[in-house]
Amino acid sequence: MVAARRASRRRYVLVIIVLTALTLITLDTRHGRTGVVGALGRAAHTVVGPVERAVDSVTSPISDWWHGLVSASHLRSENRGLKEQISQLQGKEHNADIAIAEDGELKRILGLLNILQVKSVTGTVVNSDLGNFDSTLEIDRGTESGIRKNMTAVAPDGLVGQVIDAWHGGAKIRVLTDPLFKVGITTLGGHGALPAEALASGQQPPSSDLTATFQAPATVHVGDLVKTAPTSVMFPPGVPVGRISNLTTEPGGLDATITPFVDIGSLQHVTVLLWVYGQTPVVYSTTTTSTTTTTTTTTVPGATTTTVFGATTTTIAGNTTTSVGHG
Amino acid sequence: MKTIRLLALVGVLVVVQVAVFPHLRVLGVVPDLGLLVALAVGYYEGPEAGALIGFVAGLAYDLFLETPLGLNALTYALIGYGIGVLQGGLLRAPRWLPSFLGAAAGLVGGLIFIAVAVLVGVDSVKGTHAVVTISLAAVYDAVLAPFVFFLVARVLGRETRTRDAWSTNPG
Repeated sequence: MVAARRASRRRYVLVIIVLTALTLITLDTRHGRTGVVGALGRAAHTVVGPVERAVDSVTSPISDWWHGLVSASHLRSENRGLKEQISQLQGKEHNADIAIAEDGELKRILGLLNILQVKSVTGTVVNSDLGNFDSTLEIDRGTESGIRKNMTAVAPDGLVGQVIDAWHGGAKIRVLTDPLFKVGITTLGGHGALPAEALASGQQPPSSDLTATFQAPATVHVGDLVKTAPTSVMFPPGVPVGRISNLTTEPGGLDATITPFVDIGSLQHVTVLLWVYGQTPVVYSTTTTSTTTTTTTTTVPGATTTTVFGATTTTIAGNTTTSVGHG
Repeated sequence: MKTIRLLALVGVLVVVQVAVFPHLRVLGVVPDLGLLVALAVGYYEGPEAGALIGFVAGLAYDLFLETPLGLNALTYALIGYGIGVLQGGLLRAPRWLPSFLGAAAGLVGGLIFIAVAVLVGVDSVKGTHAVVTISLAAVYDAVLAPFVFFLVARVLGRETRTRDAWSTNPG
């Protein structure tokens, strides 16, 4: 009798636990980490953050030392090669500086967003891939530095991913090779070919490349560079993404494999652009004058607006976000 | 008091799981310390305690992951309950038992995790890649299981050695 009652109680406890877990799974799948659950997760990260930073500060030197020990000869030859590359790059840098200055001037005149002018915060990578099915990075800068969900993360080489959560003292970034990651991309065009746009995403199963399908009659080639598209909703345009490494012809288009410029595994620092599309309510109004100049006015609560060379520049919390086109 | 000590152990192991083990990946995988705690508690204390501790450990780990909240909680709870039911029927408890249970629980728990994740639409766990991942993680679990069993036994004030062969009662 007692044994039967105990067994009944066990089953009751199990049923309660299973139902609770299933409810949580359903809520999280449908609504994401919002409300109390989201706050709990951020609180947990805030508590564990100092431990993660401490562990990283201990393991990084050990890891570097071990790596140096087991690959000393390789490092010497790599060092020689890198010195040669530096001297070559220093020569190119002067030309690049001139091109960047010209690009910035043209964008300013045309009223386009220049990602080099967007405020940014650089953080150290303190952790990565917490579980066996996560493709994320954690950095040691968070909401205290202005980092918010959906901001773009970059490295000197190009796009790294997108911030999916931020808390005081840290932020989590979904890397661009994650199967859930998606970004609008464009080729550069040129040599008679128009730029081709597509939606790129991480591969399933996860790999170090992205995949994208260019609709016919797009002209793309292996080796073409791709960057974030001007029509991209979630990312600022013009951020380098990678290079097309493989193309296969499919009915209706071309399936492309894109090798990212950024080596996710070796990242030590990540820069977050403090820019979010549609961060605050935006009201667009368009006026066409008799001189065929079209002016788009962007009204954002709390924003400041300045006019330079006929182009209107709106600044939201220090970020240049939008302005004017001439028709 | 025993419950508080167990919860403290769960807290410490979750911190170790998220802060230390990502740096100690073997063949790209991390072990499931929470699963091993649920396993050990279920083994020593029975199905009810195993399920409850498994649920708490899994939920704490879920807070740090991108997979749906409650997925690990459900998996660990089922494993903790299952081993609690099965241990009553064990006639032998050789020294390698924790490692064997760690591997088996890692594999079964991983399959439960994948099955539920696929049902709720988590794409990243589909395919042979996921099965390879949980198999490798199960081997890692097998290696760490004796240490976790040792810790749980100490917290529960149990005999720290795995029981001799031919014992009929694991407790």
